Amino acid sequence: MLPSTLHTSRLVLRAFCLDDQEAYVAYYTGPRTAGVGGAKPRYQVVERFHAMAGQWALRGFGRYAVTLDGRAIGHVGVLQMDDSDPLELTWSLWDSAHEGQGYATEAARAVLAAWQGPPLIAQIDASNAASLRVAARLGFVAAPDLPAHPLMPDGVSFRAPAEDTTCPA
Amino acid sequence: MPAPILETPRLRLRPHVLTDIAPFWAFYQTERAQFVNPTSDYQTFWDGFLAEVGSWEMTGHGSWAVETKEGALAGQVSIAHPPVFPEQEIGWIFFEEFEGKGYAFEAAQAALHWAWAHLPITTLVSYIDPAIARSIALARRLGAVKDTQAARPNGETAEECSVYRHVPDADGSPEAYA
Repeated sequence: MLPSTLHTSRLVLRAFCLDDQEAYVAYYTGPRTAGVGGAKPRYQVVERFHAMAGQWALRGFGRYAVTLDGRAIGHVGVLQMDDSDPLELTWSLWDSAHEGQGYATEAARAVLAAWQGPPLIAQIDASNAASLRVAARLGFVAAPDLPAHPLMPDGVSFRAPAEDTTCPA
Repeated sequence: MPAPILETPRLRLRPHVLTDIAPFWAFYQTERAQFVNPTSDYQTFWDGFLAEVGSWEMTGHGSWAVETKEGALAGQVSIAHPPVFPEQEIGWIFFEEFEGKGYAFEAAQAALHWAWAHLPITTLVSYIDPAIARSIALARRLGAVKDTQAARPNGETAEECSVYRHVPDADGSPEAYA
C-alpha cells in the first residue's frame, strides 16, 4: 500500500538499512523522544529499529528512512501494530539541527500523496510544538473523538485531510 | 531478502505472516512463555517479534515460522543477535500441542544446515534456562555442547542460563543418525 521508495525535491524516502541504525539509536536514547514515550535503552531501540523493517514485511507498508544526501535524518511513514489499531502517520527528525527547514512536512506530504488505504490519523503530544506545526501544514484536522495514544497523556489526535486538499509535494 | 522457505519431511519453515502475530502474542501470555522473556506489554512483544522478521532485511538472518505440511502453525525457529546477546543465537518456540513429535528438532536442524551454508559464521549458541529439560535435550540432540566458559546475556548466572554451543561438524546432520 506504499511504494518502497519515494522522492521529493530534497529528500529520498527509502527502506532502512543497517548503516542507519546508530543515528536512530542516538535519537531514541536521547531527549528528542520526550513526546513519544521517552528515551529507551539501546537494546530496546535496536529491536524497534529492526521491527520497523518487520512491519514492512508483514503489512506491505511502514516507516521510511528520510534521507538527505544519502544520510538518514529521520523516519516517516505509516505505523500499525495490532490489526484493530488505527493507521497512524508518524514523522520524526532525529536531530534538532534538521528542524525548521520543512523536511518533516516535505517527507510526510510525500507519504500522504502516495498512501492508498484507509484514512490516516496522527497523534502528537501537546508540548511538541514543531510536530503540531507540521500537522497544521499538512492540513490535519483535530479529532478529539479519537482515543488518546497510550504513551501520550497530553496527546492530541488528528485526521489526515481528504485526498484532494493535499498539496502536491 | 525475506526468510527463505525450507522444507523438511514433515514441516515447512517460511517467513512470518500477519496472522502469525496473534498466536504468538497468545503464547507470550501463558505460563509456558516464562523462559523466553515473557511480556504482557503489546508494544514490547511487537518490537521483539517483528525485529526478528525485519532483521532478515537488515542482517540476513532472523525468524522462521514453522508449520506442518497441513499448514498448522507449530512455532518458530530464529537465528538472532540482539544487543543483549553476547553471540548469535539459534532459539526455538513450539506451541504445547506440537511438542513430543520431534518437530522442534526437525525444524532447528534445517535452520542450522541453512545457517552453516549461508551465513559467514562458524558457531551459534543457544541460551537455555537450565530448568527447561526438554529444550536442553533438544540442544544436545542437535549436537550442541554445553559451554561453561561462554558469556551469558544480561549478566545472567549459570543457574539462570546455560549456553549450548553449535558448530557445523556436530550439527546432528542426517548422516550422523543414519
